[in-house]
Formats: sequence, structure tokens, C-alpha cells
Amino acid sequence: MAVIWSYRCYLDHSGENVIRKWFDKQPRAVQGKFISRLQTLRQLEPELWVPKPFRWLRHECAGLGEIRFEAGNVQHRPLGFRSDLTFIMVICAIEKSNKFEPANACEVGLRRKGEVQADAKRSCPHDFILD
Amino acid sequence: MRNEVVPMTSFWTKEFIDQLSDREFRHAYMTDQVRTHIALAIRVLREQEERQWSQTELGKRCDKPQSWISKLEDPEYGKVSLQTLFDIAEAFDLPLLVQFPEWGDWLRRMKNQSRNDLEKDGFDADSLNRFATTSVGSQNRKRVEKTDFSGTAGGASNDNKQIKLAIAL
Repeated sequence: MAVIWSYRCYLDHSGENVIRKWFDKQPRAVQGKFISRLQTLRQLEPELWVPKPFRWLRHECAGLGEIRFEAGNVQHRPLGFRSDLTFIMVICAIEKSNKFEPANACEVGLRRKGEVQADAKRSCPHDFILD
Repeated sequence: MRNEVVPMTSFWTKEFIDQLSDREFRHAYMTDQVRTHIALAIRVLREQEERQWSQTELGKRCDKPQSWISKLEDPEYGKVSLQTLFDIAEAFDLPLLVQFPEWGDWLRRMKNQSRNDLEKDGFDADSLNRFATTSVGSQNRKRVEKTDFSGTAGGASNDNKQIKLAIAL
């Protein structure tokens, strides 16, 4: 199996991994789907990081991308950004009626992206079990 | 004792299997892997160098609109029927394989989902003929016909029929 991508997760000011914190609170069905998507996406060439499993965002969200999956009638949208062949997840939102919840998910995501770019210690390698 | 699929190399960790031990997790994971595989495979097969078909082109070959192909390439689209898969298979001139394997076999098969893994060539008699054993098969069939399967009233027993078939194949 050829793994092309690696993943990192945003750390808040206290050093807590916010993506892991989100994951641990999710029902097992959501966790299963999320792990499945991470497994699949990491094998795909960048040109295959496209709708529908993934989408790069535009307009006020430009600079971020979303992993797209539905579980339990909820549209989950873990958001992150790309640095070479690393996808750094910064916030996990949901989508309802074409709008993110929290409504400021992109604003928060872009702020966190700036923090990670300014200080690499604000992210850590993911610790999800993919193999 | 049933045969077990033993992977040639380690495809997973104990931690990963522990994670799969939860039934809800396991089936959500499996369902998503299959759906994503189908969606990605259709896209990759369509874009494969030898084809380079647009969604519209594939739709024409299936007598369906482009929007239908777009839905099939969405892992969240949950209404893919067996007939749909047959239609897609015919368009790509590929066979379709639907099985209920055991978990070890499934995990091993689903491990690789890169573009390279998903690209497949359609039917090619020349390629298949390189692995054909026409002459050897004929010899085996002749040998079987000469074999004496006597001993059972009314002709060959079922066991003998199976032996014949196995040798002929």
C-alpha cells in the first residue's frame, strides 16, 4: 500500500489535540467512517482529493479543505489545510443547509491555520489507528 | 476445521483489530470503505489513460445522463444497485465480483485503493490467451476419458464425476 499523505492535528493553547478530543466524543459509527476516510484519502494522489470525498473550499473559507462524510444524518466536515503532502486538521464542523456549524468554523479554521504556520508546535502528528 | 486466510505479511496491527472489535464501528467502517471504493473506482477507471472519458462519455455508454455518473462517484450516494454495477462493468468491459468474504480476506483486499490499484484493463483475449492452457487441457481430457471409473452401479459415482471435472479443468 502506498501512503502518500500524512496527517497532523491542531493543538490548542493548553496543548490539547482538538481533533482527538472531537473524535473521542463521537459515536462509534462516526468514528468508523472517519477512520475509513483517513485511510482512503492518504493513498490518493492530490488530484483525487476532490468532491465528493473531499473538497477544497473557496471564498471566505479559501485556504481550507473539508473531509466530507455523513453519519447518522449528520454531515461531518473536518476542516484542515495542506502543507506539501501533509493535511493538518484544525477544526471539526458539521454542515446544515449549506452552512457550517459552528457558523464561524472557517474563521476559526483559518486563524488556527495561521497559528500552526507561525509555530509548528501548534500541531502534532495524528494518533488515529489507521493500520 | 475451516480454512483461514493467513496474510503473507502483516496488513494491520492489534490496535486496529481492537478498534474493529466494536460492531457499530466495524460496520460503519466497512460500509464506508466499500462505498468509497466504488465511487473512486468508477472515477479512476473513467479517467484511466486508455479511456480518458468524461462523466458525459461514460453516461452515453451506459445510456444514462452525466448527473447519474456524478451520483455514482459520490461515496455518500447510497442507492447503487447491482444492475447499476453491471451497467458500469459492461461500459468498462470489466467483470464484476461481489462476494461475502471473511474479515481477514476483506481487510487484505481493501487495503490498497490508490489510483494504480484501481486502474483495470478491459477484456483482452490476447492477454488472456498468454495464460491459457488449451493443449494441456485437451491432453488431460483425453486422459480422463480413458480412465476406468468402474465400481459403481449405474455408472460413475459423484466422487468420480468430481475427479473428472477437476482434472478436465
